[in-house]
Amino acid sequence: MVRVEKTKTRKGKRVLDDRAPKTIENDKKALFLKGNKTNEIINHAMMDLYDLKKPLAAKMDRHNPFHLFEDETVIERWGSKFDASLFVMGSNSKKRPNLLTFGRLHDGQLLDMAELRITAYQSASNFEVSKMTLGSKPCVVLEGSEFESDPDMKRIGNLFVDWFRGPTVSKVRLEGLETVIVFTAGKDEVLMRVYRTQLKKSSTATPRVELLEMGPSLNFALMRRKLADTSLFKEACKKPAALIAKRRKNLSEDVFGNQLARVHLGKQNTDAIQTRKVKALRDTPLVDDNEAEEDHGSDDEPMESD
Amino acid sequence: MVVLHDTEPKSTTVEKVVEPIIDVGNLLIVDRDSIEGDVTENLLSRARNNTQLLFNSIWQLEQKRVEDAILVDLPAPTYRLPREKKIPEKKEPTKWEKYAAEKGIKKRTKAKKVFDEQSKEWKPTYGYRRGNDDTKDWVIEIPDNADPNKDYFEERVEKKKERVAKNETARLKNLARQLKTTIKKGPSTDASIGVGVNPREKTKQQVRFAVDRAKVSTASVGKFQEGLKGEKVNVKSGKKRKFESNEGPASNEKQRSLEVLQKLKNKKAKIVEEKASIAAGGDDGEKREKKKSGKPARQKSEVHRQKWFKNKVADKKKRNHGTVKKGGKAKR
Repeated sequence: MVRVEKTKTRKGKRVLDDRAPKTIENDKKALFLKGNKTNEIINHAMMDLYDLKKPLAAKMDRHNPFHLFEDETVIERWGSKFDASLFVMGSNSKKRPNLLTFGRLHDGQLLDMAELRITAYQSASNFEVSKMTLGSKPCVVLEGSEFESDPDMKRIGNLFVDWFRGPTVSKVRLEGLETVIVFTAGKDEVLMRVYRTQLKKSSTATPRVELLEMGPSLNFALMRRKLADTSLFKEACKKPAALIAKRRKNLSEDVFGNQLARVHLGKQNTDAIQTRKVKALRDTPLVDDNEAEEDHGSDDEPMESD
Repeated sequence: MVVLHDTEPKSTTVEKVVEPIIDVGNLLIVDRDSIEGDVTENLLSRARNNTQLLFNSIWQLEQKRVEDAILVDLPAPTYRLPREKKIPEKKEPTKWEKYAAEKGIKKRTKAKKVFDEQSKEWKPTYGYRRGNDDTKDWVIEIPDNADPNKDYFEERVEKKKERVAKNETARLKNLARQLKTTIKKGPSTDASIGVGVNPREKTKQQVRFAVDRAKVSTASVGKFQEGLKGEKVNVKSGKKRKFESNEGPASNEKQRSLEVLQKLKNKKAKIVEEKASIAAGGDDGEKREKKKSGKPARQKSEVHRQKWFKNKVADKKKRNHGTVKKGGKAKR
C-alpha cells in the first residue's frame, strides 16, 4: 500500500519508512503478552524466553483479556502497533492451565499460531552456566521425524525456527557460536532445551563440541493450533524477484569447480588487424609510375592491391 | 600408552541414517532420524551430535582473521521462512523523476553549510538561522521603473506560499497517479446517486440511525451490546404489534367493529365528493383558472422544506470553504 498521509516530522518519516515493506526485510520482532491471568511458571518461562530473544523483543507487562483462538484481531492490531510479527502470549486458567501461545503474523494478518501447554519447566536460573550474550545468534536444532512427517508439526517446527533464529547475519565469529536451542518432537509434544557450547580439541581441524545445559528447559504438550493453509503459506514465503539470482545461459561448472562458458566474439575486422611486421608486406609509399614499373614489374601489382 | 589413549583428542564424526538438512545461513540443522524409545532420554547426546554436525559444516567454510577473531562468511539461508510483510510493489516514478531520467539529470546533494555574505560566517543551508536568508531582510531595493508603492516584502511571502502550494498539488497528483486514481474536486458525487453518503456529510439523525442499525446487527440482535457512557438508547426501535386477547366479552368486539365501520363511512363521503366535482368540471372554474395562472398555493410543510435545504447548502459551502481556497491558490 502506498502511504498517503504526510508525516509532520523527519523522524516520523524515518519510522514509517522503517516499517514499510522492503525487499530485504528487517529482523522480526517478538511481542511478549500476558493473557487474563498468569501464574509463576508462565511469568518465569516468558522472562527466560525474553532473555533468549532480547534486543528483538517487546515485553508488555499488563494482563490482557485476549482469547486469541476466539478473536485474533487483537494480536493483529498489536502487531502493527509495535511493528512486531512474532508473538507469544502466556496465560493460565483452570480450564487451560500453563499455556504459551506462539505465533507469527504476515502482512499484518495472523499466519500461524500454536498453543502449547507447559508440562515441565526448569528456569534458566536453575542452571549455573553463564547465559547467552545479548544479541548473539543461536544455533537451532530440530530433531525427531515428526518435524518431517507430520504436516502440522512441520509448520510448528518452521515457526520455532522463525521465532528463535535470532538476527540475520552475514558473518559469524567462530567463538561466538555459544548457544544451541534444541527442539525435540515426540507424539503431540515438543521438548525445548537450551545449551551452551564448549569447543574441545579433536583429532581434526574442527573442534569437538560438548554441551552444557544453560536453561530454560521446557516440555510442551501441543494443544489447539491455527495454521495457515499451504497456499497462503507459500504466498508468504515468496521471494522477491530482485533477490532471485538470474541464471546465466551457456555457463556450466566442471567437477573441479571451474567455470565453463562459451564466448561469442563476433566478426573480426581483418582489415585493421595487426599482423607480424614484415618488410615485404609493408605499404609502400606512392611513387611515380615509372619508378614502380622499374622496381616490381607488372606481375606484382595485383598482389599489392590485395 | 594406555593412559595416552584416554587423553587422546576425540573424534568429530557423527553417523546418521538419514542425511540431515543443514542450513548454515540460519545456523540450523534439521535431524530427520526417527527417535527410538523414549523421546526424553539421551537428549544431551543427541543434541551434541547434531551440533557437531552443524559445526563440522560451519568449519568447512572459508575462515578470515580480523583482529584476534576468526570469522566465517555465512552463505545465504536456504530454509524457507515466511516474510514479515508483503513484497514491495514497484513505485511509479513521479513526473519529475520521469523527466529527469529522460534528460539524464542527476540528483545533486547540496552542502550542509553555506557561506553567509553578510555575517562572513558559515551557516546552515536550510532551517533555523540559515545563511543568505532573504526573509530576514529589513530593506529591499526597489528595482528600476518598478512601482514604488507596492509592498515587496508581502510579494516575497506570497511567492513563497505559491511555490509551497504548487509543490503540494504536484505531490498529490503524483500520489494519485501512483494509486491509479484521480483527485476529486468538490464534494463527493456518490451521495447524489445514492451510493452511500460520505460520513462527514451525514446528518446527525442519519448517523444515529446507522449506529442503531449496527448495534442490532449481532448474532444476539444487540441484546448484549453495551452502550457508551451517556449514549441515548435506540431512538427508532420498531414498535411491536399488539393484538387483543382471544378471550373476552363479545360486546367489546361488536363495539370495535362498529367503530371501524363508522370510520370508513366518514372517510368515504369526503373523498368522493371532491373527485366527482372535478371530474364533472363543475362550478368551481374560478379556482381552477387561478391554479393554472399562478403557482400553486404554498403549504406550510413546503416552506419548511425549502428553508431546510437553504440552510443545508449554506452549511456545505461553509464546510467546503477551506478546500476551495486551497484549490484557488494552486491555480494561480
